Amino acid sequence: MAVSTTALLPRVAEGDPDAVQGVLDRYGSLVWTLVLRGVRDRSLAEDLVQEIFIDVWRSAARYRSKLGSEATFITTIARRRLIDQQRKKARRPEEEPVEEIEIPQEHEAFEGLLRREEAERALSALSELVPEQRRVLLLSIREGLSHSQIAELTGLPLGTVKTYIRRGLARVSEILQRGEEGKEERP
Amino acid sequence: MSDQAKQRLLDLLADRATFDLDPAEAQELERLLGEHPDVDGGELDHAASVLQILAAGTEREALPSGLRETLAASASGGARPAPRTAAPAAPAPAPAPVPRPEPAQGSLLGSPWLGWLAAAAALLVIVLNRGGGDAPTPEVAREALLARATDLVQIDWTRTEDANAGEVSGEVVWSDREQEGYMLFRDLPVNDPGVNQYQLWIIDGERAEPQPIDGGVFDSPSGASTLVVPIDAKLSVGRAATFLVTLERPGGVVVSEAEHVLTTAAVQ
Repeated sequence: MAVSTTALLPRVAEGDPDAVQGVLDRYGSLVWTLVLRGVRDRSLAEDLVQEIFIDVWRSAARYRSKLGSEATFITTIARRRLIDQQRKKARRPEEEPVEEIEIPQEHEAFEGLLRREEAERALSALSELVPEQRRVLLLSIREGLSHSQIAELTGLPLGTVKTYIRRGLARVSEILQRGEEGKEERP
Repeated sequence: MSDQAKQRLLDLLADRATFDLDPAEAQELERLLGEHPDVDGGELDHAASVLQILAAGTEREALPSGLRETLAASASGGARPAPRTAAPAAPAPAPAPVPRPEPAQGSLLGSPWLGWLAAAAALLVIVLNRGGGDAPTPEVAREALLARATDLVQIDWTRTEDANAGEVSGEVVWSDREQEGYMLFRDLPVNDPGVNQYQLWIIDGERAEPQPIDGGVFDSPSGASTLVVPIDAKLSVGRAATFLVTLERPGGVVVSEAEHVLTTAAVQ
């Protein structure tokens, strides 16, 4: 099953309070979980989530369904805020987990957040990467570490880290775009 | 585009998607994107967000109920944002005096219709200026932005103690949504463009990089006690947080040493 086809963000942009509740129902826990994992401080996470959703309300009119799910639109906004916060705190790389980041391999696990084909393609792209490259890419994406922090953490040369991230993300993007039609503005 | 240039562009887009661009790379990326408008710069950002959702896994914690209520309440202002005004707005510059014709017999003077007619005439002037072959003056364009922007920030300049600031005052108006804004100055000291020029910087509250965005180089010609200057942001501004005007060498600089910061305006 695909993501619900009922787009909420256009209605949020029109000031529909039911749509606001719908957005919080669908995506509130996703954003909260991402932020809580990123800052590991509930009080700070609450402040950050408020800033993120204010951005979401302000940007709602810019959402275009052809580009992807509402979840990815909102996640892009959340990532910007989260990375800003993480870089301000200048987290030490050695505090970060070094183990392999586990990802559920069934697209159904992301029902309601990603389109079925979107989840399948991204999982497929990740499976193509060698384990070390996948780990580096996910340390950057999930943990928000800078390339140099990842190099310090993993012991890999900075150039290798950059190549892993650049090529890995480009590969995921390339596979995600297969079959996509239309290109419009993203947040 | 050569394969090499395309690869460089993709590399920089991937760095941006993982928030790892330094200021020089950000400028390079902006230039490459400008040279290749067919490239969709958002594709790698989108891919990164999909991966972020996958990496978040399936164990998600519900929003705390108190926070949820706060978020819902914030939407009532967010969906229809009110202008954010950090300080009382400075009065608009006085329009140039124009001879006022004597009202004819049976004129609409004093009628409620007069306001509507005046508004319609002002709108027509703005529409004509925007749609005509001639670009609107900064003054007219500023007034149009003030009239239509729904997310306007309008902030008084705060003069620093730098000796070059003179008695400058005024305000800045900016719309994140429209990526348009104007600086209004009163008594900005006249500069010699061959010696130095003014340069605007915008600190973006949404960027991980600390380097401000170049907002354009400009001059203060003699004889202009009030000056309106369009903001020429060289990068997209996510959420303008602070505006600063510095005095730089002719042509401006890529990275300012901030030796002479003349005036600032912070969004609160």
